[in-house]
Amino acid sequence: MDNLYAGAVDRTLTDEQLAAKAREGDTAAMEELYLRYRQPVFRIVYRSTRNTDEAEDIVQDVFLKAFERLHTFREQSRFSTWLMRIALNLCTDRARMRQRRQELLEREAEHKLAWSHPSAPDPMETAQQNAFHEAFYAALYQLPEHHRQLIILRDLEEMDYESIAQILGTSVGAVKLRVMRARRAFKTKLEPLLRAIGEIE
Amino acid sequence: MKHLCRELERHLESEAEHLPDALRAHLAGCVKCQRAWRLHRAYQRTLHAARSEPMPACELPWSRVQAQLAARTVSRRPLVWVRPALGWGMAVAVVLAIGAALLPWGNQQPLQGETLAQAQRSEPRVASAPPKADTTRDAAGAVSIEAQGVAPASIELCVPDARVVAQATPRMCDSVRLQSPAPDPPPTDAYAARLRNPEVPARRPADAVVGAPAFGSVSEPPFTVASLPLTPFGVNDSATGVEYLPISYGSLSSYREGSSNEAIIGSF
Repeated sequence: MDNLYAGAVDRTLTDEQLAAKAREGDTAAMEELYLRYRQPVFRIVYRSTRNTDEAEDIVQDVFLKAFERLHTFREQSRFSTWLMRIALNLCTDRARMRQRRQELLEREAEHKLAWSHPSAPDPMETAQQNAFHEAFYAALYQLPEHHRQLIILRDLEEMDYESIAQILGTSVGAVKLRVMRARRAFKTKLEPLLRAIGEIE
Repeated sequence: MKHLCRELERHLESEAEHLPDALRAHLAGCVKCQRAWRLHRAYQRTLHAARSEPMPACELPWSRVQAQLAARTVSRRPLVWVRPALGWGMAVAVVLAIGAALLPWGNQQPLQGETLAQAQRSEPRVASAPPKADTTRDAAGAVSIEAQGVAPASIELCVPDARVVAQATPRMCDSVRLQSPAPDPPPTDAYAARLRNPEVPARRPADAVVGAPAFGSVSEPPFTVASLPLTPFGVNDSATGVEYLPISYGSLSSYREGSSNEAIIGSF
């Protein structure tokens, strides 16, 4: 009963089994993988871009690249980490191609206005949250790409160190060290911004 | 105190939830650690706010991705055929380039024992020279050439030029000069003459030197030197006092003393 239409894929299959089917050209398996990881990939990408349209473009590129290069996927790692690695690489490429920090801040301001709808719980609280957001992302986008990715993966998405190590292709110890350095750099950027909004004296 | 400052810093970086009592006591009296602590707390708050940020849903439909995937597959399909073709094309080009690079060397080094006729066939410019070297000796009395003392290595091989002639000719006997015959009649005239007088030999005497310049004058009109006997060494015709030098086909570097295919053939 799970397969409601011809060519539907068994949803109990693991990612790696689906990847094997997709490698053979099974479109239903590709679709299932896409539906499973569309939103997780989007979250990572959106944290980097803060723009829905651009994030969706990158998500599309991520899956196109993944499906085209499925033959290079080694089942030594999980499909999800492999996919996230592709996503991070594409985010890095985008960040290098365009200097769009200012544009993102402008979009952030637009986004802030959009949140001010009547159902917001508390205008004061919302304003404080927005100030936090603005300061947070302003500091985040001042970081180098490799630091920013670690902050996103570890502190925003709360991934465990082992998964991050698999995504970045390095050891857990190295990831811990790099996260610590990224946090130090991030706090250095964040401190004057928080001081500006009166969060710290 | 510094030890506790470092301990607090390590504690904050370790993502631990609770602060130990020892560090808490230190924090109450250390301004630097208080500042780090406040920054850490602010960082935690902003992080919490960022995590709780409403995340928009990705509304990218699968159909769009699928269409893009199909379009890319179609556009990249020719490459599957082009790549092997390019590979084969490159291989053929490399082989041809190697062959073209080696071919001139093979042509410049005739085999030992190659006959004059073979050499003439292999050398296009030789075809304009009078044939048959053996006839040269028969009529050698008409021309006396003395070129003693000219080293074989100094002779320009393959197609001698005017400079080589100038080296060889000053040693000729003064009594015998090269006669500059009239220019070659057109082939039609020769053919007509032969028709009129069958006794006229069809071939020009091999020793005839056509268009030979006067000695000492390099800028004279060009002439053609008849072929000489194929001998490994110079031929000294004691009857006529003529000595022929061994001249080889091929480049100077390909000259080997004692080879059997020396001859003077060429046009100037």
